[in-house]
Amino acid sequence: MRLDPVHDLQKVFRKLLAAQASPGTIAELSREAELLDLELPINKGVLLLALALLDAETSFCVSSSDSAALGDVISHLTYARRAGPGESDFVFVLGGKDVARSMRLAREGTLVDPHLGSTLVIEVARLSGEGELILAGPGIETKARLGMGAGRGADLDPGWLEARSAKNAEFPLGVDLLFVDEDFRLAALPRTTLVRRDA
Amino acid sequence: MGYVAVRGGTEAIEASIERLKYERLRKGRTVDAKAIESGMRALVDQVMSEASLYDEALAALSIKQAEGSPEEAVFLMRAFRSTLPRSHYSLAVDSRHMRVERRISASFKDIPGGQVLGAACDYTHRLIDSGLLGETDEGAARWVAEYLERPVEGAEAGSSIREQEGAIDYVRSLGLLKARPLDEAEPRDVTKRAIEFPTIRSERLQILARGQTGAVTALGYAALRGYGATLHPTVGELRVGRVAVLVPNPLASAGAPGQAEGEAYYVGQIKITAVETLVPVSVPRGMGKTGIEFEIGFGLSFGQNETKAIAMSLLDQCLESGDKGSAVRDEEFVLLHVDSVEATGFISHLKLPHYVTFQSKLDSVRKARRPE
Amino acid sequence: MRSEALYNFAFFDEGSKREVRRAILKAVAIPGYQVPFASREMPIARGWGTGGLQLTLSLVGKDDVLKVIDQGADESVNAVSIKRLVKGTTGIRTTEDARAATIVQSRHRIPEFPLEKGQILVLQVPMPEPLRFVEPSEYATKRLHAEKEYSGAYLALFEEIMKFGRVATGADHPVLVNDRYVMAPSPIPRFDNPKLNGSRALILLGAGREKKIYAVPPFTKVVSLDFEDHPFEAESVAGRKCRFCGAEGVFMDELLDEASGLAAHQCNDTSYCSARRAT
Repeated sequence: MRLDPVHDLQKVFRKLLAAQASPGTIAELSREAELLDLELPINKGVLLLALALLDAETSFCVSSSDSAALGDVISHLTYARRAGPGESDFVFVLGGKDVARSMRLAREGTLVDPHLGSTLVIEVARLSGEGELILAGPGIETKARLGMGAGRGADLDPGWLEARSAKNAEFPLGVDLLFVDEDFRLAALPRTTLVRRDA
Repeated sequence: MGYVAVRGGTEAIEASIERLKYERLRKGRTVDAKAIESGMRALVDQVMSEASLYDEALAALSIKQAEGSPEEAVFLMRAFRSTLPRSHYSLAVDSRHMRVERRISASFKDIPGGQVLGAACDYTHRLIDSGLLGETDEGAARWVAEYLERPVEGAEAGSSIREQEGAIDYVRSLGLLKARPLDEAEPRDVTKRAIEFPTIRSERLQILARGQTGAVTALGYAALRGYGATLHPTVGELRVGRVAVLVPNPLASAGAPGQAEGEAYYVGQIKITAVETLVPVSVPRGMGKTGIEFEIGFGLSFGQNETKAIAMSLLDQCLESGDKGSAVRDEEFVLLHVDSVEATGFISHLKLPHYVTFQSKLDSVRKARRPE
Repeated sequence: MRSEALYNFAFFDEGSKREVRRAILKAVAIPGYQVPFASREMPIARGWGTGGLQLTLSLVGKDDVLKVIDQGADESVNAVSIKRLVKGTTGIRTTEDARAATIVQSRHRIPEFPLEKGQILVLQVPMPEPLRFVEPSEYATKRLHAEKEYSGAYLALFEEIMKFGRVATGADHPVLVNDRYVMAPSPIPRFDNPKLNGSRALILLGAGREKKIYAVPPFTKVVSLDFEDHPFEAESVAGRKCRFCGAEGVFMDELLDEASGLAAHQCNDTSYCSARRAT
């Protein structure tokens, strides 16, 4: 594999950090995705995030039409432990499966240990800086815009935003979302970001 | 006025490092790391324990580099340990399955298998032996050869794996041990996951085992003098010897519970000191009556470090009791202050410049003195 | 045996970096909250910046440019030592110019040149728990933060007002982040506290010995704790002028000028001072 596990994954992490520190930022992972020359049935952007963040110390689950097989891919590559949706550090929602449901089941942490709130990695069609979502909060100077696009089977269920608001209603409890699109672009919505639809 | 920049930090550091090397070499004799490994067993064992890294050659080299400072040697070992990829956890080692070199009990006059004194300072008289100044490698080799030829009577300690009942098993068979359900919970690795309070026992035992020998000894002493144990503990069994380390087959499916021993690989043996201390505790028996049962405190160190292992066993029992009656029963107080690298690091950080914080405080002091 | 080949890029193994990186991401998602992390031992001593160092080593890549300061100075012995270690294990470029750095690691100061979007400030923290001086138990302070129970911190400030007529904190004056967590900003002077509010750069704070990482994202509300009738007051810099570059309104070192026998002032931020004198 031409991907350098030290230097290329460091770059992936820095892009992810920039995206999460400044929500609305869209990071490009296409260069690193191209180096990941493994033929696997998972979005390479998602795989890069798994390689950068998961290992034997973490737990995860997959929600998709082929959860068992995709879960095998991730656990063989990272040695991460599989767990139920309510106990996983990372939840992969792939192929446009029910995001709202995964969010409701995910761990939101406790008041004493809010950092245990899970990270959801969600596949979407196309991320862009235009779109129906208006973002505000820490990391954003005034406001930012984000669109998820529409495309081949990766449309988010319309209830996902309400499910997120409900899940994150009692800050610091909540979940943090990472979005990866078909062209390996990445965006993040940490629990601190206020999101509303442009009416 | 000419500006004298405060520069030269790099040069100053380089000069300091050279000066340190000078101090290590100026008496004209270099120390052979192999000699340290061979003749300074106690220090090597202490450093391995506190570093939680079992490698006698590396410990000896660290001791050489540190000019004999346990604080510095442990620091070197721990920093090296930080760089090692951690791929496997061994199977739990039962310290009773040991190639015994020393085994004693204070609780019973005699125990199955007998009291084996083994190699210990306990029975020496602490009189400095100037004869050691004339020791030579050749003389040592001759003595060792002659020693090994001496006939040994009875059971050969150190040549067979001990399978006999231990003192603790005997006490258990009498029904005098406080009932305690077997805890099969997976131990947590404190070097990979920060502890949170309240801790679980595996975390406490690890921190104590890695603790600075002096710190653990001092707190164990305090516990013994009345700050912790309310009744007198007795060493049920102290044993020193070698145990085998097995690693489960890494190619078996990850996380398969209850790995059969037959599927494990032997990776080597280590020498350990294990101590089981019997601590009498009061137990209510109903109807206003109180009885006494025994709890076990457990202590462990790499190599032979008996004082620390015994002190650790006392602190284990103190912390198990949970009540924060005194400092040595307070897990935050004990566990957060026994680590050598943390304690020596923070204390020595007082040598760093603090003039900004001082300037800030000076400002407050001045303002507080100004009449309003 | 002691060759570069023995050590991974940026000293520690990828598993350790991943753990720190995961903690950083959660810290950014919960501004001001102390995320626990396993904190490896580093080749420099605990208490000397191992938290900041672990952050820097987990962030850094070949293209980064690093500035390290201690007490505002690049040439401070400890800053030099840290820079040598990072450079020795990564080969990356270092700089004294805060404007040219991608990562600035600092002990006890925030640089005078405002940091920009895309830069990361890493602060070294000795005691991450702002409530430690009112409550020694970690178990208890975790629960105080959980309940947003900060009256103890305010009470301590109130007692100072009663005793001294004013708040008498020095450096490390506690702040409230994002209207939720009271945070120890690290022993930066009060003068630097306002720089945390609405910063354009990401600020990460690391306590290696105490094993905590926390963060202030850019454009986040950070307010120093005070009372309406006793508003927060930074150290006085009015009337002070740097004897080398003439700067005013920046944090100064106070020294005794041997010639005049009077107090003299110079910019604490040495590279800010040199940059001013260069223009």
